[in-house]
Amino acid sequence: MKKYIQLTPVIASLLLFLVATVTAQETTNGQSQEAPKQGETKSVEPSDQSDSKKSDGKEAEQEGEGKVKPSEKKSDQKKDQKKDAEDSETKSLAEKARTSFRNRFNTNKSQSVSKYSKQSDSFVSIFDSILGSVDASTVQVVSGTRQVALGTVVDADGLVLTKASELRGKLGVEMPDGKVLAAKVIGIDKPTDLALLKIEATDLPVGQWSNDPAPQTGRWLATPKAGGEGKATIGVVSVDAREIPPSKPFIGITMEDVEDNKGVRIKSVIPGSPADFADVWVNDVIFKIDDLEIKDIIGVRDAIGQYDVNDRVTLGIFRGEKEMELRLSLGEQDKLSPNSKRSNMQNSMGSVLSRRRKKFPMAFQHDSMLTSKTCGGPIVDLSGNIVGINIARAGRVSSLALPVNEIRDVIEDLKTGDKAPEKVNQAEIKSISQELTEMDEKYSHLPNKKTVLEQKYNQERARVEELNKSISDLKKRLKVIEEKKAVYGTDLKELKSQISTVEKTRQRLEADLEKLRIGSR
Amino acid sequence: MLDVNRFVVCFFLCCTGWVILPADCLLGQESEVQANVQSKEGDIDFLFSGEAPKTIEQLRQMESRFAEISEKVKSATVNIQMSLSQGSGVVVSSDGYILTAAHVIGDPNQTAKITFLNDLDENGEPKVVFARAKTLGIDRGIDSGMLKIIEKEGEENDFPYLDIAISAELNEGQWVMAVGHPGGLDKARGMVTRIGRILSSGKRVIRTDCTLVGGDSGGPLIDMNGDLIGIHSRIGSDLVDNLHVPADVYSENWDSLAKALILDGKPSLGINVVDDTNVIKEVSEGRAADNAGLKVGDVILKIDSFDITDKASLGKAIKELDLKPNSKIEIVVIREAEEKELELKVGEKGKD
Repeated sequence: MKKYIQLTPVIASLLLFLVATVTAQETTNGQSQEAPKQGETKSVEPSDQSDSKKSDGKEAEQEGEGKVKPSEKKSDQKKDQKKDAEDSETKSLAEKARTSFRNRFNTNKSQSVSKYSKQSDSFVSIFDSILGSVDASTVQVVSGTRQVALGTVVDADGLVLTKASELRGKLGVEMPDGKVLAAKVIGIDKPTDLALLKIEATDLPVGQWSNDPAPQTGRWLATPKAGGEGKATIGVVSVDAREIPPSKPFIGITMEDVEDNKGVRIKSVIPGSPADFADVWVNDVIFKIDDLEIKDIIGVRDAIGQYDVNDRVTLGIFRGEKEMELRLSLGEQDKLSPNSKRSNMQNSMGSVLSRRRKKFPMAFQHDSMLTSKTCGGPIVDLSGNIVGINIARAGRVSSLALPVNEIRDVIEDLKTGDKAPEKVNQAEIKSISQELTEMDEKYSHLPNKKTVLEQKYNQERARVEELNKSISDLKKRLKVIEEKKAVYGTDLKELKSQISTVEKTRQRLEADLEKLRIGSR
Repeated sequence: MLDVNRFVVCFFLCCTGWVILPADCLLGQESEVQANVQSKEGDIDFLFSGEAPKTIEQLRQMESRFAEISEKVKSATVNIQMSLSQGSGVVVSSDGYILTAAHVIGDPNQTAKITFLNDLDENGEPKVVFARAKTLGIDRGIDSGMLKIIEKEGEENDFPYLDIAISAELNEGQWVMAVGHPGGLDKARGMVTRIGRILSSGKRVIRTDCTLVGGDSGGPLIDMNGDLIGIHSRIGSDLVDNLHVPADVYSENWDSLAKALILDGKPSLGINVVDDTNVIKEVSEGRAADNAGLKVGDVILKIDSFDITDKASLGKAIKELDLKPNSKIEIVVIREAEEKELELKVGEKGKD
């Protein structure tokens, strides 16, 4: 609850040119709402923020006791009906506010479900009759103990299809009975982002694959749950199967031409961009990208346009007089460009998007509310036949599935072992290994240098410590002596005063004695 | 103090920063009107009552219903490009009135570029038809807006359009379809269809689980008859927070919207009078009265049917006429002993 409130201004301030507004919903007593003003940007003062935090938390909890009243509509009760509708509208928004925090950070769980939504139990349960066999052939792919994707059993003897780009670390497959089996990647297909896993199992259930062409817009689809958890996700085809275009590659610099077409000068480096990671500096001059000479800004754009996202390129640059090479992996414009931030923000509201969600040879778009973790599994039509493999949560309104007819050959290919990761990624593995070797050579003297420096440093540190110790001892002695000095000082003062008193007495007595002797007293 | 129970942070759904297509893209083909929803066999009451279907057979019925209405819906749904932003809209009359969201069009009397993107033709190419429209009335408070097509390529013919249903009669749980151009116009992709249910329906906002995103703004929410029930407006952070402006808001304010009025704006004439009189002391340059030709020293006699005798009666007339920015009034003044009748277009307070 509190997190939600705190998050709001953060989100709003992230989006500099986003038109955000706080919209008041109609209140239960029917007062009309304050409404969004065009061009009004929401900003929250820190003090207001903490005030509202407190009161909101309380009220939300109180409201939590109330249930949304079912509003049966009858024509002779129009006014009451209307009020009911508005009541439940307000309450469901309160409900939303309460659950929002949970959903935001736990998007693997289902969204807050209204009894009317297409994810309501009553609606989803209609699909039970067609999902039986597919449920059994849908598995969870785990990395360590964390679920990363769903998988589709494609061979009874332990072959599972899943989404390659979500795989990390030590992989396992959690079977519908809850048992986790170790999994090995035996093939990956870059264009479709499919991976084939091998697990040690036999007699696994395999779902029925459709032989029909890809489903058309408006066809119902169900993504089965994996194992005993959760429930199916329902949707319809939103856009007929098509090629999904790639994201444009992105370096993350602004630049200007330099004199005589000798390259481009970096004007700024976007933080967190590939250029930033590669340590490109402002005022560096790019004169080469791989083997291509760069004359001007258009040259850079043309050159980068030839590459794909994640391709590795080498920039030839001048930093002052010094010529050097910087290597970087190209990023995705859609993800990294500041211009895309607003749409990225909206697209990731409500679900976690897949790492890879662009560039597929053929996919149909549907409106099932998947997350990155519920991709990789099968999706079925009303006959219960597998019509596709969910391959990406691509945006707030968009999930993508590869039609089965497009991937049959891919699966056969993956089975051969010719597409094992080490083979598919051979070139990149080689390139990075080479870079590592070069780095090792280039910086081989550094450990030695480090040892020497460490020794010197430690020596000096020991000396400093020794001297500090002496200083501390001397200070202690000094303190003792000063104390003694103070005591002697006090004694001396007392003694002087005594002497002076004695002296005065003596003078008085001598004076008296003198007077007595001469008889003047 | 903000009460979160009644407030939800919403994000308008138009895309900013989209580049307007170059003029040579204005060559396109004729759009085809196809509006034929056939009567259905079987009982389809559940599509409107708010119930969930109970059998796979009913789901199949729904599929054929989607197919029947989507062609008509897509032919009437448009992309709207303003100078710096774009969104969606829907044609609701054969003579080219378009409904959208206020934040898509911004202000009345602007030019908008309208794109009809119909299904693929025989050659597999998307049929694209361009038109120009003028933005009309808006209510920024509720986020409603209207445009009218003023110029279209190709032969003159009627526009494909959707009928407007009565949104007050919607039931919670009722099945609906949302169509639009999420992310902006994408010819290779075309329009994007979503199916969902009404989660709540009030006088000022409808909430559904048809997910929306930037670019959908202004697009149509449709019932299972293929009739318009709402216009996409804004979203909250949850996937079930998709908010639409109810269709009744447009029906009830049709005339005002068509007159390009700013329904949530305060009227301004752009004059000051001498003390408590009806004599004009000051005419703000470039504002309503100035544009209408009023001069300092004019004595206002009449505004529409209201006689004006002093400052109080002037104020009363403005109040009783319930003037909105952009509405036109007849104003009678005496200038140099002569009566003059002028037409004045009301301005908006706080705007140039």
